[in-house]
Amino acid sequence: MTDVVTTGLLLDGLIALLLAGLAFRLLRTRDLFEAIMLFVAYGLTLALAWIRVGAPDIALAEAALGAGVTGALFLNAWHRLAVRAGSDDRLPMEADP
Amino acid sequence: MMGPSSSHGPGVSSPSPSGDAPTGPDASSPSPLLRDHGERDGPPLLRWLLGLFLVPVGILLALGLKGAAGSRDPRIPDLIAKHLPETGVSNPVTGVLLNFRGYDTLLEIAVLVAAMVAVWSLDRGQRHFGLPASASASGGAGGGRPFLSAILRLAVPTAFLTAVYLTWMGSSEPAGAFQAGALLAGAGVLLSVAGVLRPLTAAALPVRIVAAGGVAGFVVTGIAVLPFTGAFLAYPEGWAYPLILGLEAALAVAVAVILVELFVDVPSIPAHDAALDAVDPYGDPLGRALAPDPSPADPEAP
Amino acid sequence: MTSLDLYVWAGVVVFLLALHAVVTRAHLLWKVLAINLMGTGVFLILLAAPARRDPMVADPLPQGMVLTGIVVAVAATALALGMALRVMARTGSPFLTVDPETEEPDPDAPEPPR
Repeated sequence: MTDVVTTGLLLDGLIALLLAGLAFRLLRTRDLFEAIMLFVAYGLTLALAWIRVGAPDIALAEAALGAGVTGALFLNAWHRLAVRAGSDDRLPMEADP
Repeated sequence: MMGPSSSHGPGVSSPSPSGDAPTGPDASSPSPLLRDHGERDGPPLLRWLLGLFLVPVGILLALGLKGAAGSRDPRIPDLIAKHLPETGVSNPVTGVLLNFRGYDTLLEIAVLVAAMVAVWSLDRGQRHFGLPASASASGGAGGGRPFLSAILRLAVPTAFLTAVYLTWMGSSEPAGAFQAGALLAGAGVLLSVAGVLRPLTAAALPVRIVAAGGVAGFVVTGIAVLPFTGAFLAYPEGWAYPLILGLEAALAVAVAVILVELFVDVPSIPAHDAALDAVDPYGDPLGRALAPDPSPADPEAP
Repeated sequence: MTSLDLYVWAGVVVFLLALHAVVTRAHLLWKVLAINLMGTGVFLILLAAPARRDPMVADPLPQGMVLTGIVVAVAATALALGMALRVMARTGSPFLTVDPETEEPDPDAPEPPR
């Protein structure tokens, strides 16, 4: 029993540290694409945290909306900026006529 | 890497008036759009001072939260558990969202509709979304790209099925209309990216009807139950479960359509615009450095 | 120190880190990212801080509120991104600052670049 509690506490500490670390990194980085990827990773880690907190409804919503849809929105914005900036990273299908 | 050779980076911009961009914007990347070099961030001293100030704030906040919350007796969960059988559903979160606090959910979907209208009106007439028309016309779904078309075939039906399941199970298990709507929206976004759903913009009447369907369903239901129970959105005995299920279905579809709209209708930036190319991105973007001639593709500009 | 306390601390840390970034980072997309993170910090606190009967199950009421909050946050993010992109499309710049040397910004009276 104690073992289960200790393992759970360790896991929660790991998730909490991961959340803070991902947030710190994504707010400090200079590269927009990296920041967006970190944001999606943060959202999925947060979904784990919701499970641990005992809110499975929120975990589902966070994974689908917080990480998925919001990540797609940011990637969409990134792509528009990449087209504008003439970056090499642009998708081939968006090549200019 | 690319440096000044980029044909439309800031390297061709007018010479910086007073050298206010110290390292030069083109040292490592062509544009600050994708890489923020921090020239515009506040002075370092101020940033450090703010950080130092926030440390005790955080400690006090966490301790205060713990103290305030720990001293209270949790009565609300007991109340919800006691009255859950009257809601017609067995998942307490669904009961809260669609019965106890139906107003919340009504206003939530209203906020989504408002956001869709706002995003839609940001950039009327200037959308360049998805594949070129030739690609989607020639190849159909996936436009001749085997990986995309395989993903479409696998993911879209699965997402659709899972969304139906999530809506159906929302009354008893951790699931519900918003999760289902997000999944459906994921499928819709995939179809939009692949060029299958290209004409889906908020200008289309069916899109508007479905998007408004969530709010309309709530309002109509709320008024329809008035003669029976005397209160807005108070479901009559025995009718709670079917009404909630119907509302959840309308909500899921409306949420999905609105989220796809929010994704598709984001304003685009022209790749080539001589006026924009002349702007120094580190200059005074709101005043002096603003492009002299508003881009001609923007007829509604003042 | 219980598991829930850890998440309250994580929520507070994320909220303040994001608040710092909203104030200090000039790039508009990072501001939108940071406001999103502030929201998730608040959500963590809302669900992890209240007293509970059953330590394994969160209150249904704050769960409903947080669910609403997540959906509204997505809508607000989409609108904020749309406005940020509109600014970038009109000015060519991802920043929303005014040159301290010049007077008030006046978007209606642009001068040709020198």
